[in-house]
Amino acid sequence: MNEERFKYLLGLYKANNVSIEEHDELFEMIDSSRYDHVLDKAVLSDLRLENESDVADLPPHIAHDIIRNIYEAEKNVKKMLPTKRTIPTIYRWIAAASVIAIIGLASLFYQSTNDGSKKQFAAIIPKYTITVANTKNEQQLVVLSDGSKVTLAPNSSIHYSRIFAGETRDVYLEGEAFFQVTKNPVKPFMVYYNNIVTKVLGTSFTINTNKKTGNVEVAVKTGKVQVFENEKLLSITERTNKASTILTPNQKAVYNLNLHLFENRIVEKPERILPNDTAVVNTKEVLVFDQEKLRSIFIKLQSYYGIDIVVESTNLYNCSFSGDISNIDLFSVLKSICIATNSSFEVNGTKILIKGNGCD
Amino acid sequence: MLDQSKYEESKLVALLAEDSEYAFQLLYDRHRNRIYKTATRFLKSPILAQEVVQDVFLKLWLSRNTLKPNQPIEAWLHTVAKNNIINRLKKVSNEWKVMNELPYITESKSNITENWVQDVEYASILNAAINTLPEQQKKAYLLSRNENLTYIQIGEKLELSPLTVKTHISRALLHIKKVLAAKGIILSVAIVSIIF
Repeated sequence: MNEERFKYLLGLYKANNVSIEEHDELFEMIDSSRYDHVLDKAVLSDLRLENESDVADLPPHIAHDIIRNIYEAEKNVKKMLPTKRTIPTIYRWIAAASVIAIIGLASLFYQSTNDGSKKQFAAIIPKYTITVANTKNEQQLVVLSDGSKVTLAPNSSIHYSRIFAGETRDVYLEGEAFFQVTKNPVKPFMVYYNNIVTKVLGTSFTINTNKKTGNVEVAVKTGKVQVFENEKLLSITERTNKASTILTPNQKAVYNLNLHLFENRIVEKPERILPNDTAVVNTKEVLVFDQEKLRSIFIKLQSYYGIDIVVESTNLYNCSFSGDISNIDLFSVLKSICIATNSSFEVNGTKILIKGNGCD
Repeated sequence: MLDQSKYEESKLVALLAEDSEYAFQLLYDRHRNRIYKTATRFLKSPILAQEVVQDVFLKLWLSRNTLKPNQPIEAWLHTVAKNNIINRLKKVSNEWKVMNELPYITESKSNITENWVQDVEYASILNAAINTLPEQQKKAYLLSRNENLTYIQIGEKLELSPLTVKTHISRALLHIKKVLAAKGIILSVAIVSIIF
């Protein structure tokens, strides 16, 4: 009935000339499915149009990435296929698997192709190891022979020796896990994960792949951790420039596979540091400030979270803040302080910068 | 001329069935831009349009052994692309509509809130709230408030899809509303700092 209206709105929309109200109206019509046949025709005739220059071409480097992703995706599809299938069912598998592959393609954008001289991660896992795979829908606790605990996320697995006989305690991880490592200064605990190695003496931390960005991240809760690239998975030229970084609590390293470097950042939800290895942090501790100067508040927050807080102007230290922050997370506390002192904050690497003119 | 290109395409399809990456690359170079441009016109997002191109050609590559030798490949690509674009557009439209139906983030309500905040005393609270917004939300919000741009126009400036812009603005409004709602507490804190 309103086909003309639909066509009119679609025309405005395509030409970027649609108002917010018209935009709502058009999307309401599209969502109703009553104009599918019109939309169908519109898209098809647009596809047949020649040389329209209102929109830019696909940028060449992205065109290149897409081709690479497609070949990569097929490799992954093949890996997922059982080998004994007859040909017709294989195609059914490919069809099903390609759906999964498409979903995973975004992350493939960030992964470079292997250049043959490098080994795959699976190839460096020693044959004699025990494998624990978590196929359940919930986390699974694995206790290792040295007392270290590994909380394995669903669809993740670890490979390790029953007894850690060598100079190091080696664990190979696929997926995501949280580690609580028993202290043993003479036998470092090493976690191998894709291209990186995380070396610890006694601490707790998480390793995972950020689903949004496809980057590997190591986040530290307690203790100190060293993260570096795995030499066995690097080409010879890359080995001379092996990336490495050291993390303290509430910091995470984000690994960039293409640039071969680590970027240190603050974890999304900083938690209070456990003082002197006490197992349980007293989160019930009351934290009430009564007209306290920001200087002493920031010193307290720094020791609680192990995160540096830097001020743009030292006049900010003169400002005062009152409030109960016992049950509030770090970023909310900072927001409250900033609102009260007419300042703002930004996270800059592993530091928090407070900006504002401060108080006299 | 047309016949020749048709003949050539059927040769390419035959080559493709034999896993020729060369034939695949040729077909890709020939058809990718038209698919990309149409997807951009309908989806208003370079990222989504790139995904369309990737989906379409991934499908072509994975179905290369099952294509009939005389299959008109251009029509095949257009049908796959059309379905992909429409599916995405419908998903976007649906999310768009659902967002409009959430009562607490509609534009009109927020405007009332904003008028109410016009008072100088509240302006600083509002500014502080805006300043604590994540960068993209803040940009989208300020462009819509100060320059009165549509979601598509903001999307072009920030290289985001209109739906993402809408989400950013809705979240920004929600955040600002929350900050203002909590102003009882915040205000008392602010008074303390003014006294000092």
